[in-house]
Amino acid sequence: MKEIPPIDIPHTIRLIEDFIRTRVSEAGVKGIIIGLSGGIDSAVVASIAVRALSPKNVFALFLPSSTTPIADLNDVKSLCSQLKLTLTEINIQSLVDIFTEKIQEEEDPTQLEWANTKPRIRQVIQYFFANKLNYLVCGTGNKSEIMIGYFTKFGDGASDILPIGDVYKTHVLQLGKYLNVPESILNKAPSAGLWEGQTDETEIGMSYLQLDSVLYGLERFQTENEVADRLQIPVTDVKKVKSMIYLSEHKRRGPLIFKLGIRTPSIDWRIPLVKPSDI
Amino acid sequence: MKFNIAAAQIQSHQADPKLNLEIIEEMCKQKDVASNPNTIVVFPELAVTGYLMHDDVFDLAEEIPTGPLSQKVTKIAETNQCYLIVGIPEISVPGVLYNAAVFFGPEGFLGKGRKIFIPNHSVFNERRYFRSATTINVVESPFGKIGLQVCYDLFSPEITRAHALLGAHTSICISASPGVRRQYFESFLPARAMENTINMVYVNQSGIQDDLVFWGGSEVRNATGKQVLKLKYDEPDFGIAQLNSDVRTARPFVPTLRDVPPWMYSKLEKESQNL
Repeated sequence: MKEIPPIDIPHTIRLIEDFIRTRVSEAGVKGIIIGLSGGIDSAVVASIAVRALSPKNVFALFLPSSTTPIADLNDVKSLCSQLKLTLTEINIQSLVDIFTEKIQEEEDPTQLEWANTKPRIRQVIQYFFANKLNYLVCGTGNKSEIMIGYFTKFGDGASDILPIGDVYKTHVLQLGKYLNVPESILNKAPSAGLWEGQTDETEIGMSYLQLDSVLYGLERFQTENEVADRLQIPVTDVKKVKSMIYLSEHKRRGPLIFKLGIRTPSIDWRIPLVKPSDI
Repeated sequence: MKFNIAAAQIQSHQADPKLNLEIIEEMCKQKDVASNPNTIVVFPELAVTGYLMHDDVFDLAEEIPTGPLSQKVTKIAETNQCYLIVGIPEISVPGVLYNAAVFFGPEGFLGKGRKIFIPNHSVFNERRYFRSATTINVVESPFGKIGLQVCYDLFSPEITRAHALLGAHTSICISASPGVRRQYFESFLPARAMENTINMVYVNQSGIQDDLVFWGGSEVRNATGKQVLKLKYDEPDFGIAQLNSDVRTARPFVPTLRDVPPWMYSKLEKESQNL
């Protein structure tokens, strides 16, 4: 299989830094909230954010639950120590338990509704601190998981900015190596940590390298057969990725508004993201 | 010669030609259409692929009439012994796409009209995909000369005028118009008929595709501007109207074509370059 070509790492990091700095400045906020999971994505985003801003303007949150491996806590601590970040840890399990009790349901972490509940509770906490501190919530999703919808709508998918949202997982790993992210994070099997033993690649049904190689071809308008031939994989694997892309398109858009008026919010009533100085 | 227009105001499925072709065939199998050599079934803009395909248009656009979608529509026309006009995204050379109205009959491909005015305002994003046609033509059919135009083309009076000057007795506009444009089309259609003494046919998409709601409301006007068919708003509908290819009787009363001043067009050409 031909791997996807590498990216220009220093240039990409410089652009992401600039993006974070610009968004913070133009939004008129003091910094960003990052939820650290112990995985590579949040480690890379935090590392670049510290370069873009400073450790005191990056609010690091670790929000474990009963299914979070202890290794993740250790990795988050060593990352924060390396980046000189102050870590705030809040265990969300008691909130999940209260939620369970209130709706009179039994928690089953393997079921979708429960798998999505924890990320949504985490986002409530992140936005609480964002409002309290006048910070932005910085998402840590990467292009691979965004394109196949491997995230929770209004959970980890809810944020103000997504600095690595156009960077494939394969490239995120390259960024991580360059940024000296701790080895234990670099070598860890990617996992959303929603239940014990969960790994992304098992759930997705293919390796990130294969997923990214397929996405890379589709991004360049290659046909299903062209992608399959190039990668020497069954065309059914390509179709599977395409299917995941279509089924998750609703997660990549804001809530759908349909056109009734002359100019419609989110469709054709378009203005700059930044308020002009004379308004 | 009298002939029928069947307005097939369908709701196309986005980027799903398989489903859309099933709907198109179902329409063509109907009583009064199948095996009626006097009827042209007209479908909306990009009826075969759905209007909002977004980037999938690069996969779906094809050479006309040799592409697989055209071949399937040809088969529908042949099997059901009917005439039909559908919207298909066309590719001429790699990377160059047109938004086309295509005319098929039992004998095969009859002709096509490429969209000239490609909207890129309001909700429209068509220039991301389509090139503007570089010519205006009419199709020679067993019904005589018929002009084809696509949606926003109707906003420009020159196209219907050109169809009339090229000898067409009928101009057919296939459309995918969202609701806020309704008053324009409903005003332009009778105006184009009356100002050119030409039969006008307008067939719109209906229902929802993504964030757009197509208002339906397809209609047919004869060469005096009289409404001879009007379909329901907002939902799929179907109706048949009779037209006459002989538009001579309308012309002495409104002799606008006789009175066309050629010098005015060279003036328009010159001035439009100074915008």
